[in-house]
Amino acid sequence: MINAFILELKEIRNSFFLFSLLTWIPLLSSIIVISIFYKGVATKLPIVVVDNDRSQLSREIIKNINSNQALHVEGIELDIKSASKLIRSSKVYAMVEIPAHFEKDTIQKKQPNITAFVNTQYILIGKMISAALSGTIRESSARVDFANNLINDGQTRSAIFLTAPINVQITPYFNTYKNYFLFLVSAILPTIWQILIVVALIVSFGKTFKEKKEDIFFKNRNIFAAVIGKTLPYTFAYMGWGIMFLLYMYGVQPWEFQGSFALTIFAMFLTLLAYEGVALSFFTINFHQTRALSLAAVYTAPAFAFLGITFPVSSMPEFAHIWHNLLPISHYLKLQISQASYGTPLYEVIPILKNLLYFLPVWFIVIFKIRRKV
Amino acid sequence: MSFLEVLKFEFKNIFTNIPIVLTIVGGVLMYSFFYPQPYYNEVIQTLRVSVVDLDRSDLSKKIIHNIESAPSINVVRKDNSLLEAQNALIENKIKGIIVIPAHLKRDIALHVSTTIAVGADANYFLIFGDIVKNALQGILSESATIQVSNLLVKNIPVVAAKKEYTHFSLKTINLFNPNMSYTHYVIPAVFILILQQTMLIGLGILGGFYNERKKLYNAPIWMKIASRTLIIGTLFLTHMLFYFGFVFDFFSIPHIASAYDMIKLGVPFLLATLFLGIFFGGLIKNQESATPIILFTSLPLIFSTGFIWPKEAIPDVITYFSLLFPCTPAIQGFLALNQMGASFDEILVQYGLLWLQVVLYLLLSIHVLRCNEYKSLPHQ
Repeated sequence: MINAFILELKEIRNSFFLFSLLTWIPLLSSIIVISIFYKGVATKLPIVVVDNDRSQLSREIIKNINSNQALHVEGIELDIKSASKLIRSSKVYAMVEIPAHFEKDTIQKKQPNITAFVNTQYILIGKMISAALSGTIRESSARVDFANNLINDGQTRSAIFLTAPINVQITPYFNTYKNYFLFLVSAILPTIWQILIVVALIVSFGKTFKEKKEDIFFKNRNIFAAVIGKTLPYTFAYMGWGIMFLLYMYGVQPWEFQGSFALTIFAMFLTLLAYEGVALSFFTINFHQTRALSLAAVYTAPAFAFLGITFPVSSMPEFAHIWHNLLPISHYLKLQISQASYGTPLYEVIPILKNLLYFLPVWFIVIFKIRRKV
Repeated sequence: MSFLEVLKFEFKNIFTNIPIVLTIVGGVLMYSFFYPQPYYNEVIQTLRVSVVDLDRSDLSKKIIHNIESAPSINVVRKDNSLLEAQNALIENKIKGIIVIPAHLKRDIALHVSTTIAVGADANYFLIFGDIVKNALQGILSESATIQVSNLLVKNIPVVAAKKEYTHFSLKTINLFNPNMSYTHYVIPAVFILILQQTMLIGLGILGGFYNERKKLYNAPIWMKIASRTLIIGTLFLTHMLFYFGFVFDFFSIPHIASAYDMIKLGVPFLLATLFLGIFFGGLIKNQESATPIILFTSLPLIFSTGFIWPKEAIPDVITYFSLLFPCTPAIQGFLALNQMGASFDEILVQYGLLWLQVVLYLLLSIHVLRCNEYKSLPHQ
C-alpha cells in the first residue's frame, strides 16, 4: 500500500495535469465561484420609472424606491416604449409606471394603481425586485395613511392601528441575513469538488494503464492494498480541500455552524470514497480513459440542478428523484445543511450516512475488475 | 491532399472516435432530455408549514384558512408553542412556521395593532420566498378587511370605506415567463452552454488526437479548418435547430423569435465556438485533457452570465473575462430575442461581440495549427 502511495506521488510530480487537478484548479475554481457571489446580497438592481404624473407625490415615491437598498432608479423614462427597450436589453430589470393624475387621484381617494413590469425571465432577480417594490409601495401608501389617520384621530397609537392592524414579522431561519453567498456557494463548491475527484481518479488510473505501468503498481501485489495506496494521495488532497472549504465557510466567513464538525467531515470522507469508487467503476468498464471521462461528464456536470438546493427535491418528478439519490453529493449536502443549520443529532442523520454507505460496494467490483485485468 | 480527401479524413477521424461521438451526438441528445428533468413540474408544489395559533379565535382561524388556501401551502401541523414548531423545523418535518399571537382578536377589538410572525427555512431560498409571499398575502388581505370594517364603524359607506383603507397600491405584471416556470428560466440558457461545451470537448478530443500522433497529417491549414467547420458546424446547426425547435416545443418553452433571427445569431455563435474549439484542440497534448478542462469551466461560466445572479453584483473582472466565451453573449442574445421578444437591433452588441470572437479565434486557431506544423517538422 505504502509502495503504491509513493509510486503515485512520483507520478503526480511528473504529470503537470495531475498536479494541477490537485492544486491550482480547485483553488482557482473556488476563488472564481466565491468572488462571483462575494457580495451575498444584491443591491442597487437597476430599474426605470415612467412618471406620467410628475407631482410631488410621484417624486416622493421615486425617492422612496431609490432609498430601498435593493433597488436603484437608473433613470426616468418618458414613455413605456423606450423603457421596455431597456428591459429587453437587460439594462434594467423592471419599469415602474406611475399613472397620470396620480396625486390628484390619491387625494380624491380613487385609489390609483402603480404598475410594475418586472422581468421574470430571470426568476431570482425578478423575485428580489418584486419583493422590494411591493414593500416600498406599501410603506409609501401607509405613510400617507398614517398622516391622514393622525390628522383625523390625533393619537399615534390608534393611527398606527388604523394604518396597519396586523403587521407581519418575517424570520429567515438558518440564514438570518438571507445571504445568497451562504445559500449558493455552500452548494456550488462541493459540486465542483465532486467533479475534481472523479476526473482526477480517472486520469490517474488512465495514465497508468495507458503508459502500461499497471505491472509496476499491481503485479504480484495485494490488489486491494495497491488500489487504496494509489488513491491515497487524492483522498488526502481532496479531504484537505473539503476541510478547508468548511473552515472558510464557517470559520473565516461569519456563518454559524450548529452541529458537529467531526460528523460533517466523516460524511465528507464517505462521500469522497463513494465518488472514488464510482470514478473507478467508470474507468474499469473498458479501461478507456477518454470514454470514462465522457461518462464522468454526464454524471457529475449536471449535478447542481439535481441537488435540490435551488429547486426543491419534493417538487421534482420521479426520474429526477432517482438521479438525485444516485449522486453522493446530494446526501452529503443534506448532511452538511443538517449540521450547519439545524445541528441535528447523530442518530437522526444515520439514514443519510447509510445512503452514502450504499455506494461503497462499488469498490469490490472495481477491485475485481482490476484483478482480472492485470 | 485535395479538399475532398481532407474532408473525408476528418470525417472519419471524428465519427470513428467513440468519445467524440459520445459527446457531440450522444451527449447533446441526452442532455436535452436530462437537464429539464428536475424542473419538469415547473413550479414548486406543496410546502409543509406549521401554525402556532396562540389566539384560537374565529379571526385567527380565518387567517389560517386564508393562508391555507394558497395552492402551494399545506398546513400539516398545529403546534402549541413556537419552540415545538422550531423543533419540527429543525427536524425537517416542516419548512415554515406561522405564529399568531395570543389576544389577537382582543387587540384588534381594542384597536391595538398586533404582529403575526412568519418564519421559514432560508437554506432553500425558493421555499422561503414562496412561504413568505403566500403567508403575507393571506395575512394582509385579512388586515385590509379589518381596516375596511373599522371605517364602517365610523359610519363611512361601504364603497368609500373600501377606498379608504389603502391610498394607492402596486400592481405587478410579470413580463416574460409570467408563471415563473423554472423550465423556462433555466433551460434556454443552459442549452446554449451545453451546445458550447459539447462542441469544445469534441473539437478538443479531436485536436488532442492529432497532437498525440507523432506524424502530422499533411494538408493546408485552411482545409483542416474548413472541413471541421463544415462537419461540426452542420451537425451543431442541426442540434441547435433541434434544441430550439423540437425540445422547446416538447417542454412548451415559449419561443418568440423568428427562425431567421435565431439562425442569424446562431451562425456567429457556432463559428466562434468552432474556432475556439479548434484553437483549444491545437493547444492540448492529448485526448484525455479535453473533457476535464471544459468540465471545470461549466459552473463558473453559467453563474457569470448574469441570468441567475445579477451581473451588477458580479465583480467586473469576471464579467469581462466571461465575455471571452461565446456562450456569454450568446445566452444574453438568445434570451433577449427568443424569451423577451427583443428585436435584432436590440442585441447588436452581443451580435457584434460574437463576430469579434469569430475573427479572434479564427486567427488564433490558424496560429496554433501553424505552430504545431512547425514543431513536427522532420528535422526534430
